[in-house]
Amino acid sequence: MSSVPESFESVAVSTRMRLARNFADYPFPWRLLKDTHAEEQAQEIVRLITATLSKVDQFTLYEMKHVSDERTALLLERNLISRDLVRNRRISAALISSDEIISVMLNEEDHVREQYFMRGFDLPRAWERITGLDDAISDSVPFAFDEQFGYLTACPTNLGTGLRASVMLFLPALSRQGTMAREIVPELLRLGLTARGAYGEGSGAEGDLFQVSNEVTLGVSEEKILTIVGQAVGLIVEEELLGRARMKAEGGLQLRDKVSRAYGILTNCRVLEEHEFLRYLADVKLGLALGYYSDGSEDDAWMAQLDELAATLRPANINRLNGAPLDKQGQDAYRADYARTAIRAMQLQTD
Amino acid sequence: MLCQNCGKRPAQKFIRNVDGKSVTVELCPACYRALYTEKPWTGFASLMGEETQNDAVCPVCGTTFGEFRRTGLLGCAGCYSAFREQLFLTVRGIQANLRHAGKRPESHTEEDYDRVRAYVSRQETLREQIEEAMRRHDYAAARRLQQALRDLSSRKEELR
Repeated sequence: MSSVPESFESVAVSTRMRLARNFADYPFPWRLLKDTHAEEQAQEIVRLITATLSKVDQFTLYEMKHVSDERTALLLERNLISRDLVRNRRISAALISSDEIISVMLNEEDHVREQYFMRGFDLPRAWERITGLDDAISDSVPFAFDEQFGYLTACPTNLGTGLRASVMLFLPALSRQGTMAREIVPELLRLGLTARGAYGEGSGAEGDLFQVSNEVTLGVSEEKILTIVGQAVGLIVEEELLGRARMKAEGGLQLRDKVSRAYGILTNCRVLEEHEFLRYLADVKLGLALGYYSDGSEDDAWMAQLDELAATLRPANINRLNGAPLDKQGQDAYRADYARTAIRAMQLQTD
Repeated sequence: MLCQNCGKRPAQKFIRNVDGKSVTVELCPACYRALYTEKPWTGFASLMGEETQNDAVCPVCGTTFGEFRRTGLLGCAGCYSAFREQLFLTVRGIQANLRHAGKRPESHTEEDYDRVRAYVSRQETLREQIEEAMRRHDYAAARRLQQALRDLSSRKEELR
């Protein structure tokens, strides 16, 4: 058993960036939905952006009213589209790059929502990619822009830069010790940042995952937003690593037992419900993060594999892998078999 | 889980210290900020013209200011011109600063920017003077300044 690994990657899991943009001459999507004649305008938006992006990269167009429920669930699970986009399905669409790192949602809350995703923590790189995409689109589309309010958005909470820069953090120590809710989240709010549970807004922090992002979008430059988010992430990572070391020192045999039991269940169970799976998975990841399983050389790769496993074993994706929809019992059995085999194959050094 | 205060937006959990005990409150970030963080004093300026606000209509898309208040959403880019004055208070509550400081589309030149920057700082000065006058209970001066602010706003179309 080695000491707690001081790896940044074991805390900052992934980076995500979003820009909100609108056409200057069309009503915003909720308004378009109210007007029966507006479908043509909504169509025009989809046509224009699709044509523009086809010059940039290989994108698949999903016009939501034609997308099956199964496919919609799958896109939602992968965070490539949002619930708002599904709600607006009469007029909405998504353009998704073949490697699934870029998703442009059309006629969601705003006409255009450009999004970029990457594994790991790299705000400058994510910004470079998203602003490049934005430049390419704005070459042919007159975005609504105001000298005072910047890029105009349907909701004033996105005004100005329209930028939401977020970093996904795995925070078992800070979340289990209550430090997140008691100290860090209120402090983030004071800085114009926020931390949400990773499985969508409103969810608790399932799997000890938090999404830290900027709330304030107007009156600060993109550079400044990236700096503040980056600095906050740096401080939280430091705090988390310290928390993990304390947790390990104070937790003793009890903690080791808890983590080992989680590993035991995941590698032996026959029925596994999703919330239960995420809870035990977080315990095993905590074991990795505390250095219980190895000398540390493979920790980051293992961590990535476990995160990948969580994405693989979500309900709609299980149906896809199975080739036919399963009921909940069937899914729970499928999840248990898959997780058992996959985690055993990783050969964590558990002794 | 919806916010315990507004009942509309998704909530997150916050732990607060109340009389030495830890209490969990479930609020959305906007309500949390409204209930627990200090807000700058905005004076009585927010009360002036209140009665006319909800009836204001965007000439481009027909959205009323009352609709915006209910849904939190503007109807089109034109709403920002139609409701500019009323929006300052809303935006001031949720954003860092009232002047865009980031990226801009290439079609907007630096000269455009300078012209509008002058306009905006004149506007801000007037707003501060109004608050100052209200604080002194000099309502006549406040009214005069309000009129100057309205005149300035009505001239803003020339800026484009």
